[in-house]
Amino acid sequence: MFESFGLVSFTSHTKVGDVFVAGLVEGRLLASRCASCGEQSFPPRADCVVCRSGDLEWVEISGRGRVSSFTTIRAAPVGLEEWVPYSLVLVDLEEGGRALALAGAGLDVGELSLGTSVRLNPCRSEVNDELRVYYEVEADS
Amino acid sequence: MRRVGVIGVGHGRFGLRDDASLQELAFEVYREAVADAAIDPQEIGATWIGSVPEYHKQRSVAGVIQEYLGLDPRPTWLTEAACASGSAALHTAWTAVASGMQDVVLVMGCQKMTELETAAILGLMGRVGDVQWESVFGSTFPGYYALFARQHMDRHGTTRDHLSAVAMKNHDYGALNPKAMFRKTIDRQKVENSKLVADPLRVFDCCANADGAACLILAAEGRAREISDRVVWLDGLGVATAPMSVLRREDLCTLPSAVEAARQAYAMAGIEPSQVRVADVHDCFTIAEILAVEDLGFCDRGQGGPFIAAGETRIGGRIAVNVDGGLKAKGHPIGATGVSMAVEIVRQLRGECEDRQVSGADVGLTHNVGGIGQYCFVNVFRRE
Ligand SMILES: [Zn+2]
Repeated sequence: MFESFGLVSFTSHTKVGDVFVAGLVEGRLLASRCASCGEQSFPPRADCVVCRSGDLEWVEISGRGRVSSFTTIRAAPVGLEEWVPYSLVLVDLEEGGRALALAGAGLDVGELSLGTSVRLNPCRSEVNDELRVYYEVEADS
Repeated sequence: MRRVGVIGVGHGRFGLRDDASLQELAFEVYREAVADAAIDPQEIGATWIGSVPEYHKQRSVAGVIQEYLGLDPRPTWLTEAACASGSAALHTAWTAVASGMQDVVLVMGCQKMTELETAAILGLMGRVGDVQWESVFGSTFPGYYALFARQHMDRHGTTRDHLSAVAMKNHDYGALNPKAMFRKTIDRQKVENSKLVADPLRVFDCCANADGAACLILAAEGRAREISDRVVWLDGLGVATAPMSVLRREDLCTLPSAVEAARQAYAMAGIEPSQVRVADVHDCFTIAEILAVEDLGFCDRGQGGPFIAAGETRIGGRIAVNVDGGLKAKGHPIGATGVSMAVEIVRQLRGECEDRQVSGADVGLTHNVGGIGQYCFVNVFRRE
């Protein structure tokens, strides 16, 4: 199921794929939490980096956060040539963890500065008749 | 452990080398290093090769190179640590000699980056980051360093002028290096009018892919002294890792792997950063050289931009940095770069660098980064 995550996919299988992708399809952003020690992670991971437990729980997070850095890509890798220029925003999430994601249509990157409040929004779209799920960065309203 | 010295060096011309195969590039520098060391190559006990395999059409290049050098049946294999593969080869070879397993060994860094078609190279470019959570949104190499640059500008007041100063300095010295890919000076306008690649980084903030090779012959102290009276000693080694993913990096104004590797290398060599006279650092992008001079303790945290712009890293300044042109002007054949840095520092310490010689250089350093800092190797070299 993970092959539908992102705009170009490289990783088709991961232990955290099915639940995470199903969450995005429903419009929910999920972080993993270690059932043993409580360590929370976004993006999710199957194996606890602190206590090495493989038992994980899922928690929904708000996606609220602040801009840590950003850039506009003008030389794209294969498969994304038609996207240029596109902007990537690195977000420090309020509930812990980080995301690197595309700036959504409602986010004016020209007006962005570090520390600006933003929100990571779950998204779905059809690309070449294929369902893609991902998240993008929008202004925090 | 035994002390290990460099007794021979070889360095090829970097750039578009469509005149030669990978093993032919390797042979050029092997021939030069054997002549430089004036040894019988039968003394070489093993070869470590730094090279990044995915750029080559030939699979498992180490064996092919060893065969072409005529060194069979002595053992060889690749070390891979992205853009620090050459330093990984040097580090691993050092452990073999220091431990007593080997007496004389060859360290080869070589790479052809222009062998693949452009589309294939761009495909590789799309997988430099964490492919699970980052590459899926079109992250690129310059894109990551652009994130670093933006944070450094915001927190420390680093400016466009500071970035441009790095590019101009390195081109000034590249113009004096006969082995460099770009042998032309550039002015501020040239940098600032070049195309944006990933804001705020422009074309002239980025190093170029290149083909090239460099090699070293190492020997244990006893044998080194018998062979040579101008041995340069590898007296401090540091190596560390950091998360590959920017999602797991606390602070984008530093490469934590570089700070840790530098700490180890200084401690092992028993020196302070202020004792280093000449350094080759990993300027894959202009901002990377600013991070490097801070991480290595050549200036205060956050002051890398003004430090470089004031000329402190030119010959005659406080410490000469990348006076071979750096990755920026010399070119960046990724597997060869770490070895190329070591060759430059050895030649500086021997006093062989002519019009870009740092006078009185007795302690030199290399700083070689893999990827965006997931690997970093720092080495301290000394002459007696
Ligand atoms: Zn745990």
